[in-house]
Amino acid sequence: MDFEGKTAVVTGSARGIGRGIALELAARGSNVVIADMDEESAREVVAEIKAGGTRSYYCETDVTQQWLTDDMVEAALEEYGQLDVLVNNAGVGGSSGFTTRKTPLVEDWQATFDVNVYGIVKGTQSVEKYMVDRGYGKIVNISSISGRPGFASYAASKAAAIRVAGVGVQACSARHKRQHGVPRPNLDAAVAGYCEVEKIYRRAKRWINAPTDFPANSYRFGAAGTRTDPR
Amino acid sequence: MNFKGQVAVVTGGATGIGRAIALKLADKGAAVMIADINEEAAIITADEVAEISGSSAHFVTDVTNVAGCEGLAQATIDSVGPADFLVNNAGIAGSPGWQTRSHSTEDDWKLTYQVNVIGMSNVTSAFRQQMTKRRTGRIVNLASIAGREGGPTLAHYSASKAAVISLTQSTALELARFNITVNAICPGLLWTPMWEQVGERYANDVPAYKGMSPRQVLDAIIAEKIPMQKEQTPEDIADTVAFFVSDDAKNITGQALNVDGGFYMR
Repeated sequence: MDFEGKTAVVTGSARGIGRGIALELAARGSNVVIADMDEESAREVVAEIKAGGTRSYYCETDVTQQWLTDDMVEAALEEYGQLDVLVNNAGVGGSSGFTTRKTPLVEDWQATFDVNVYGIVKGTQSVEKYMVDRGYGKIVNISSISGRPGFASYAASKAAAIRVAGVGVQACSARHKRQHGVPRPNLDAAVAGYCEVEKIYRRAKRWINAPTDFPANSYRFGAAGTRTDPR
Repeated sequence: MNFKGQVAVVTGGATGIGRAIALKLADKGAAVMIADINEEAAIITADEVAEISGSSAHFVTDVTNVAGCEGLAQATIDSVGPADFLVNNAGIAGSPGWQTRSHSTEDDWKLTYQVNVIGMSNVTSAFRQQMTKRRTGRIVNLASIAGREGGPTLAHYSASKAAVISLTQSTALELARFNITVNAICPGLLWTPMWEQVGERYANDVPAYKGMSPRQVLDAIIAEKIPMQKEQTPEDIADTVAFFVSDDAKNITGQALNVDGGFYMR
């Protein structure tokens, strides 16, 4: 797979899975915009990508603000002249302190839906017109296997993310067909497995407090035998 | 993706989707064993593969015959080496004459299950030992979007492909500890000889498609059901097989991936 000359924007790419995605796309030739709120980590990823020979920059982005995701897309187009791939990866497990709680607070529901669902919607809306007009584009949403049965607030938000993708492709499809009568952008929900990232360690801490949730998930670990690498 | 030095087995590999898979894997360097019931076509495809990757073999295989499947497994070791990839592609749509009938007969049910489900299990069982012994392997099963939900015709075929998705999950769980992945692909709408006959049957049995040619039926269903508004090709399916057997997919198992332009979204 060769992404030479392509441009990708990856939200939440300063750390964890997003970082893995950004580095892999860059390794295959793509220019990558690191859209995140953690400037220090983001700059390290940018440096790593540049050292590998493709272009990259840090874009301070809060995906809960539509004007910021609009800026993210406009800046990428200005910088590279085209935008081929948007990876809606930014996500949270709850509002601050969620790791210490057994059951989610309303604030946790709010935060997970603001970022994990509406963040995807906003990122997608920012890029939709450009991609539809161009008649080309790839959007990948990072969901989670807990979007299938799992933790209430986080799981519900990730399940919603899968549906957003399904409905999104139909909407884009219909609109593009009306306007152009030809094929339209792809939109796919990518389901992320458990990864060896900080979030998992935080979740593991929570499992200890809620042992009844453990068996089903540990079975999945056992079946696969290995953990998923962010790449 | 580079499969140089690796060995693939493709059942039903002589023609259609199976042939496209064999050529794709050969293009990436793999030696390919073409297992097919049609010897003449198997020889032709095996020759094509040999020209691309330098190594191929063919073995006349009826997947409903357990001894024949074991013969295939041994012949693979003897000719091209132990299998790294097994692509269970062989399949049928019914017993002879299925395209002329408006309802599934008992023979349709029996033969379709015999080939599409039990036959798939026979081949997998035959290759099980050579893969588990080496603690490596990739198995890709060809299901269908017909296995995702029922349709107005071909109940036996849809049910058999749903069984393939389930079989894929069970096999994946059995073999995970041996570092073997097992995944399924659900192709959408492809203009193949089989679909030509499906189209004929729709034109006869489904009021909305009355009087259409098979190709017109396919185009009508694409227009109505496929968000990306185009048919899929054997090469699309071959590309997906190449992904599942590659290192990129090393942590993916038990999945069924729709390659269907958005037709079905679960």
